[in-house]
Formats: sequence, C-alpha cells, structure tokens
Amino acid sequence: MNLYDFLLEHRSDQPFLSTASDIYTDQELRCAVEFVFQKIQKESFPRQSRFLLIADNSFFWVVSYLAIIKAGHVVVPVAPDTDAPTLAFIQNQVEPEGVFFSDIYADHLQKYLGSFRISEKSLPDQNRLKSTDLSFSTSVEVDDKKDLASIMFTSGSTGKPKGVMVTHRNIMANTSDIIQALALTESDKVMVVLPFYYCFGTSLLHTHLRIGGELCLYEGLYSAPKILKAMQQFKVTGFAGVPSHYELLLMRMRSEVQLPALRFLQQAGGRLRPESLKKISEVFKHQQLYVMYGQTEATARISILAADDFKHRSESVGKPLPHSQVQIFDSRGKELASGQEGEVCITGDAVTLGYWQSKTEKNSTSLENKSFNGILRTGDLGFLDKDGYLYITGRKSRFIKLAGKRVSMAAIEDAYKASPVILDCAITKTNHPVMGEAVRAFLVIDPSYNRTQSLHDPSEVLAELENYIQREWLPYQLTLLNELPKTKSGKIDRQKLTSLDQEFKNVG
Amino acid sequence: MDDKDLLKNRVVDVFVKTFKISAENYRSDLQPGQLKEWDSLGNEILLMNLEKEFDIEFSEDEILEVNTSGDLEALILSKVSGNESL
Repeated sequence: MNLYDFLLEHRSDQPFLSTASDIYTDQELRCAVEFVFQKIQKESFPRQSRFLLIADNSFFWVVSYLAIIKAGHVVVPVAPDTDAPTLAFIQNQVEPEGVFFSDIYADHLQKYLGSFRISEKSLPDQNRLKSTDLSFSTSVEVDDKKDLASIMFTSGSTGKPKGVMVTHRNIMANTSDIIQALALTESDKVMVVLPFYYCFGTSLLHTHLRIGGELCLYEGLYSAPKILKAMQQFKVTGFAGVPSHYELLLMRMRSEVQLPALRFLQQAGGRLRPESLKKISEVFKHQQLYVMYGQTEATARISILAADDFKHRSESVGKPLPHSQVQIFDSRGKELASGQEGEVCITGDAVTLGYWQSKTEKNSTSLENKSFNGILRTGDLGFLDKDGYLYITGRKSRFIKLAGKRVSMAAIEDAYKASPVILDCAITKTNHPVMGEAVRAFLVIDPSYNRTQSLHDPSEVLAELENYIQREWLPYQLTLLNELPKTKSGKIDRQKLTSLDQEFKNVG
Repeated sequence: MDDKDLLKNRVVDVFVKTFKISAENYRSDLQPGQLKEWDSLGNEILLMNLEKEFDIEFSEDEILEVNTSGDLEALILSKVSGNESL
C-alpha cells in the first residue's frame, strides 16, 4: 500500500490544517496533491527519484510531501536554515531530481535549483482548489517494505548528517502504534510547534492525518503567553514539544492555564529535568502527559509512557510500541535479563532500512555497512524493568574517566541539571595534567536562580555547584552560556559545542 | 536629556548586555529574529533582564502586545511612569 492512501484512507472533507489566517480541507489537500502529482508524472522520472523539500511548516509543505510519496518517489525534507556546506553535502549524497521550496528561500537556494522546481507560487489558489470535478489519479504502486517514502537527515549532533532511509511500511507501522498508545481520535486537534522536517514533527502529521484529526500550525516567536493564546483560539486537544518547549512555557506561566479543550501533552526529544516534568504535570493537572522516547532511525517513536503510569514511573520512557520491540544487549551481543543495563536495540516494522549511501560510498571498498539489517543499535544505554518498562541511562559512546572510574557523561549532565543552579548543560572531556581526563562544562544558569544570586563569574558558579555536585564531577573548565547551541530539533549541537571558540576558565 | 531618553538608554543597555550587540546597532523597530540571539530563549532572558533592571513584572497580556523593541520601550515607560524612581 502506498503511504499516501494509508494516510488519507479515513478522511472525507473535514478541515485538516489551520494556520493563523487559513483553514484547509481534505478536498483542498487532495486537489493540490493531484495538481503537483501530475506535474511530477509528466516528467517520467526514474523510480524512487529523490526530491528536496525546503520549506517551513505550511500547506505547501504537506502537499509537496504527499505528492512526492503518492508518485512513488522519495522526499528529502531539509531545514530551511541549513547552511550552504551542509546543503551541498545533502545534495551530493542524494542527487535529487528536483527541489520543492518556499519562495522566500528562492535567492538563498538559487544555485541548488535544477530544472525541475516547484514553489508555493506553482500551486493553484485556494478557490480553484475547491472545484470538485477533478478526478484523482491512483497512487503509484510501491513495495512498502522496500521502497522509501523519505530520507530523513538526522540533525548530525556528531559529525556529518546522516540520511535515514524510511520506508512506506515503517511509517504505517509507527503511525498505527502511536495512534493506539495516545488513544487519538478524529476529534483530536494538535498544536504544531515542531518542524515537519524533524521526525517528531512528521509523526504529528502522520498520526493526525491518518486518524482524521486536525493540525494547527503555530507561527512566530515561541513564547508562553503567545502559544497559550493560540492554543485557546484553536481549541486544540493536544500539544507536543521537546524539553526546551516545556522549559520556556514554565518560565513565564504566571496564572493557571485555562485550556478546557486540551486533553494531552506529548514530550520527547530528550529528557526533561525531573523538577520541570513535575511542574508540568502540576500546571497541566487536567491533561494527560505522555513522555516518549524515539529515534529517526526507528521512524519516530520507540516507547511511550502512558499518562496513567507517569505517577509511579516518571523516570521511565514507557513501554516499547508493538512494532518497536526492545532488547538489551551487552557489548558482546548477548541479550541481557531485565534490570541489567546495556545497549538498547530495536527490531520490528518501525526499524528503518539504514543510512543512505551516495554512489561513491556504495562503490568504495570500505567495509562500513550502513544498513541496519532489521536490528537497530540505538547507541543508547538502558534497561527494561521486570514489567517491561524501558529506562534510558546514557549514551554508549559518551564516557569519561574520572578518578579511575568510568562515568557516563549523561549521568553528570543529569546531576548538574538536577541542581537548582543549572537550567541546561553539556559536558565534554578535556585533558587534565594530573588526572588525565576531566570535565569541561558548558553551563546555562537558571535565570530564576540567577535572579536571587546574580551569578556571572565562573568561580562563583563553581562555589555554588560545590553544594550540589560531587567533587570529582565538578568542572575543570567552565564556560557560561546564555543558551547551548542546539540543532533545529532541539538537541544539543555537540559539533558546534566543541568548535565553540569561547573563552573558558580553568576553575578546577 | 529628559526622563524618556534616560529610560530608553537603560533599555538599550539591557539589549546590549543580553544580546551582546553594540549600542549603535540598536533601533526601536528591532524584531525577534533580526538579531541572531533574539530567539525564543533569548526573548525570555531579555524580558527577565528588563524586569530586573526596572523592578517591574510583565503580565501575559502585556507580552502578547509586544512585537518590536519599540513596543518594549513604550510598555516600560507606561509601567514606570507611575513610579517615582525612574
């Protein structure tokens, strides 16, 4: 089955997308997709051709995405603010046949635009889309287990971005699982602040299209009063965000929230500080909070902590979804029993095929195999408890040797974030003349703490931290930042962090 | 220099410190996104720094009306004009 038919199977002619100024219906979507689909088909591109999609969340984004998929080709969504070298890298990798783009990026994209290009301007206006006499073409048949629907470039928080090959089947399996776990219905309406080119954002699109629900796009600066107002106006039933979205909400929520329509919140994309998680569950006490764990390599979501489980297991990321079975392996590849920590590995229909390889990479004699062969090694460390709940404890490769002990840098980051002094932090290693390795910390001071203490000097910060952090874990080098460099999807940009040419202070 | 100018200078000062820009780059029609650091988090830090500087608190409704740096100047002026200590 082509993913396009799966996503629109239960839709008739309801609104599917709202922006601040427009409402789009299913019929308008079908007409616009048909229009773009015919333009693509006219060119007789080879099967599974790649097309870049460079636009902000919009009707145009959704139409382009679905038309490429309906035509059996492969969408490569790209963040509009991607820098020139990265864009050139992606283009080189996937060798696209054409580009779909927002007109506002035309100048910036000029040298990447080949002969086949479609922009917002190419779409017929909304009035013409209302005509119902259009007959719809059948979708191009695909082998849903093998054919790609998209190549999702992961944010590349370490090294070069990698293109994850996502099949039609991957998305269908993961979408059905998420719908079931969140008990979504056709009356659900989600506030979208996440970009669609990020797998958490695309999963909102997939689930709400499939269930017959609605998406509301938030535009403009993300600030608590504005987002809450928009949620009231749209009468949304759901909200989804990464930790920074929730931290920003908490910073400026003075009064109790009046959102009678709001039913649930989704949180993924990294761990929210335990005290913020607690605050969120208090502020939104009438809403259900779902904490989730996922990876682009597993389509989107891997596990979901049901709202009812949150009270007793707030440290867990929940139970694995039916099409994302979790096993824990030790470094020798032996499966571990419950309670034992090892690498989190996933099997099932939601596991993508692997990383895209360019022609030259395929022809090279390098032995590096980029396909997953059905089992995804996430690189995350964790364990399953006896009831099957998953806990994530750190990253496999991020360890530091402190006073002879191997410590997960994630554990250190958690300890820093658990102190009232620190809002956000990232830890890297640095050389120490005596100890060998020591902590280099990039810290963002919690503004509400700063308000009373006025911390500006690294040595003052260190003195404060001594009250909360064990001695070996204190930073040897310390950089204070207003915010951490983050990728568009809200993850810490570790590549940028290491290249940060900021002055740091040896404090240890 | 009247009180209004003095107040504006203090607002500019907070912008300079928060976003690490030079005072010459400040204009009253600045909008979020025009300065690299004036993003969602930068905006929260700016508001907190302004609240601290002028010993005021912005309400949610007030923030809803703010779109430019000039809006912030006007808002602060209206909030402190009742206070004695400018």
